[in-house]
Amino acid sequence: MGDLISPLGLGIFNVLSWPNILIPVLGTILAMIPSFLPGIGGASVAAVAIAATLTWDPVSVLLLFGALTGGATFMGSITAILFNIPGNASSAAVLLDGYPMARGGRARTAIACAATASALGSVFGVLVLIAILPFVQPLLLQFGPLEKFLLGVWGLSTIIAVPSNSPIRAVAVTLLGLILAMVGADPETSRPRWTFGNFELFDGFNTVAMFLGFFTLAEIISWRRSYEVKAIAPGPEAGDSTRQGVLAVFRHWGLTIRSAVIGTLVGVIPGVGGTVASFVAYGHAVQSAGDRSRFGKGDIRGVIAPEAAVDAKDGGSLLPVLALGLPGSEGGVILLTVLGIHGFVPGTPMLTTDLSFTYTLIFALLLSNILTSLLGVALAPSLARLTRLRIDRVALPMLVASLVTVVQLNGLLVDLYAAVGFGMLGYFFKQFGWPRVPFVIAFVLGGFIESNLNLSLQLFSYGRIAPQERPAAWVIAAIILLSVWWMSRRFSVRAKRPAPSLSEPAFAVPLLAAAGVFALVSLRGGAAYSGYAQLIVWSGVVVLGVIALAGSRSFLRSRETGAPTEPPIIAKAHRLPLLLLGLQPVAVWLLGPPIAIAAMVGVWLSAGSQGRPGRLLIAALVAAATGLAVAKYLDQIAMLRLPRPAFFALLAGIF
Amino acid sequence: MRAFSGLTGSLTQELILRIFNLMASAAMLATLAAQSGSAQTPATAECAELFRGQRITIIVPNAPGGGYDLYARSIAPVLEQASGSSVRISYNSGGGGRAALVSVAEAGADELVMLIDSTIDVLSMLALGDNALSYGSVRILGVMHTDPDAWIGRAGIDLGSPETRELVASASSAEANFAGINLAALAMRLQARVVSGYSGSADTTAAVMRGETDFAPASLTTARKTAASSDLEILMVLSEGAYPAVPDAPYLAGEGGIVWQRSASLPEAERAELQALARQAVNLSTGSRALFASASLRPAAFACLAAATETTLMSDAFRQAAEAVGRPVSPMTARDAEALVVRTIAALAEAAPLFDQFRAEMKP
Repeated sequence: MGDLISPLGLGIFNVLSWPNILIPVLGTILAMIPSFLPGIGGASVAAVAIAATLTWDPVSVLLLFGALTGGATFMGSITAILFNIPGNASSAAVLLDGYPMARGGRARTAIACAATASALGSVFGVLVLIAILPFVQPLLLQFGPLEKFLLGVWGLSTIIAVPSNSPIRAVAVTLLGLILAMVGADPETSRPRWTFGNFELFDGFNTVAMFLGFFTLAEIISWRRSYEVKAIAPGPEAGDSTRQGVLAVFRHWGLTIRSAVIGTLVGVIPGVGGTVASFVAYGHAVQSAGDRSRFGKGDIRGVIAPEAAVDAKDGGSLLPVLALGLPGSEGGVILLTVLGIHGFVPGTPMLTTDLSFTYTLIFALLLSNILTSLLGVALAPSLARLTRLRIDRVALPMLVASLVTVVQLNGLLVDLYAAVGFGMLGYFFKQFGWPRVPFVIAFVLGGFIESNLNLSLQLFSYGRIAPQERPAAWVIAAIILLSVWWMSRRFSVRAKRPAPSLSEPAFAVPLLAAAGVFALVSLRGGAAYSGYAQLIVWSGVVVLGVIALAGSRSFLRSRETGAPTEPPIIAKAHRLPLLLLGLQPVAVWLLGPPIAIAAMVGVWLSAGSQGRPGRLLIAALVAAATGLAVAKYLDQIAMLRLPRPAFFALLAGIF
Repeated sequence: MRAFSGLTGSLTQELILRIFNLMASAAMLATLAAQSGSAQTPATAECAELFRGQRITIIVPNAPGGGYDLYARSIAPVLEQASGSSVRISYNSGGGGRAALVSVAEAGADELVMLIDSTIDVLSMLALGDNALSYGSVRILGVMHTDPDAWIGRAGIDLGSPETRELVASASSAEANFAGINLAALAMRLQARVVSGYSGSADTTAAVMRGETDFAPASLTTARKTAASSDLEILMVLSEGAYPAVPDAPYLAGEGGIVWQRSASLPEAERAELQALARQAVNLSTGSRALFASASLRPAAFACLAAATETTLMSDAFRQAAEAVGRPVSPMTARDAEALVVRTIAALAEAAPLFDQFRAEMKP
């Protein structure tokens, strides 16, 4: 024990001594930059820092990179809560309840709660890390594909507890999420699957593009001169305070600790990201809640769980790099490079002779997590005021920002097309009351489950997995069975039959047609379409077929009996934004993002000008300025080299 | 989940197409040879004029922070000095590397755009003929470093012993590791079963550490780092003869190599055939980190870009910058790099029938 204490003490001293402490503070600030300037990724900042710190002493370098690893996690949640825009994929789960809280006048509580849960999760993760460090190597090797597969299944099983007015719709959207998660290369054969000849989809749909579309764009559609939502979020509700947010975390201390355990566990498993951690924790929060009716509508427990999990994961995620030299992410690759440059050998040396350096890195990460949380709590009142902006006025800037952000994710226009597609899907999910959370959980976990199932089956067929020798798998399997049993006892299915409406078949039939096309394509077989893929897609066809058929029959019957007049499927106020958004992929392909976005801005603004020349002129000027700014941003800041727009390529071909 | 069954098999329609491809690639080899011969050293003043006010873009096919990014960042300031142009780095990580390749291949005649990637990855993508690209779509400008593949595996596996008959490998993609695993195993007369679908080299190595598989292919640089951090060993380097950086490590081809040891009891002709197969595996698994430009770039611009690249890659400034961030450097001139491309295309064409058979046997 004495051997441990002195490196531990040295690690703490390295972080807190003067002027060392300035370095993690600087690292935290640097890590926060990408949250506000989406053109500069966190990895870019770290890559620049590698070169800038070549001559630094090893302790200073570890202090900086520890802070860079931990600093950015929480900041992504602020934009998710305030604007429904996830700063990164792992902060997406927070928007499910964080954003409704902010719209409901509880932004301050939500931010303070997220910051506190984040800090506590981080402290928990680091404490566990310190406790398990001596025997971490064998522990890390307990988690193979079988355990990862079961972890994914556990996350997926929590969908049972997600509130839904129709279980069959929940099943349908879960299958849809799993189907769309399969687009891209088959994990075993690497053959393209449902990419329709588009090589840019080889890696599948980008998760952040999906979130930006499904939540942000879908929401913005209903913001323009909306008659259905209040143009201004209500003023702070009574009881909306930083104190309430902080206290809520302690009031739900059990959930905070359980979510932090999930986050730490996920962090320790190499190659499992924060997105999985946050959604598994969110699902757990829903399934373990007594009253789950508020989830998705602004339940504070939906903020606590993902935040505590994501930050608890940060500490654990260092372990595969430190203990085995295995980077499970881009951040891990950078850290491994940094360790190599400064003479550290990952593996046993980092856990024995260099243990004080390991602790230095861990405590720098902890300090950075706590600093960002403190900043979040301190800024909560000011940030919460941003929700007082009129949403019909912020809609257009947010739409432009979302489209630009999505293009610069990978420098691919296909991400913009996908985001728009998911935006439409998300909008209609919302309009027709189809549950969105099961879709998102299935989409996030789908690829993870499939690839690990596939690996487990291959290993099993070669006799390389002996289930009796996998205690971690048994533990996770037991947790799954217990949670399903718990949920089935606790939540009896109270299916509320939706009122007969044209919307049911009107939405289900196109989805059925799309799933049918996917199913027919899969029938052509080939090495890309595994049994799993076929099973999921055909199940989707069957379930959507049942919904479409039942919905049509019930609607026709209600017509015969003189049902009330149908409200329009698309509200009048939403038609223009929906049309403009729907046209973006074509316009972007034809004219390129700057002109397409400028045209959208021009039409959006001039539609409200009632033909007044002055307003039309202003609309034209704003559109032109936006186009120039977008062009400048994509070229000079994001430094993208996008394909030549089809129209200009055609012109170049002619002349 | 597959074991490549061997050389026998019927000629499929795809295979016949491949033979046509082979003939086409022979024609391409002639073109490339002619191109490499035609590259002339441009006049400095001409290049200075050409580069003035221009911008060179280096496209990295991954997210920021990886190995290629670090190479690109080491190249950029030196190339700026060598060319007099501004140099920027752009990231295009989609489509498993295809997006970046297509972006460079389709660049205009006056666009100074370079791709930084592995020769074997680029040529394999071009060989598959996706996206209407062919071997003639891009031209190599120079090589920063050449790194052979190695098998990193559990300690105690003796590949030289004929008693070692069957092993299980972990790989992210079975197709991408065809040469490094299947072709090498075929030369060794070893049954190599591949578990594919792991999410990267760290994941494949973790599988070996967990005992799920016996070995994983990795670049020698990565394999050496992993061996230093764990109980795993470098089982073999896919090189012909001992590799200078690891002279004591077993190697695949050449006298005294694994194939030579395992085939000791075979007739001479059969031994030679297996050695040829081993050389093919070496050629097709050795990755050279290289720079490419569009083949449609004007010849004068290409010549200037190649000259500036060569100056950069051969400079001490680049070597120091790259080595400082842990990137090894063993540069090659454009002419040598062109020769490497020609050899690799020939090896790809030679291995095409075996590869097609392997693909045809693939079932999920």
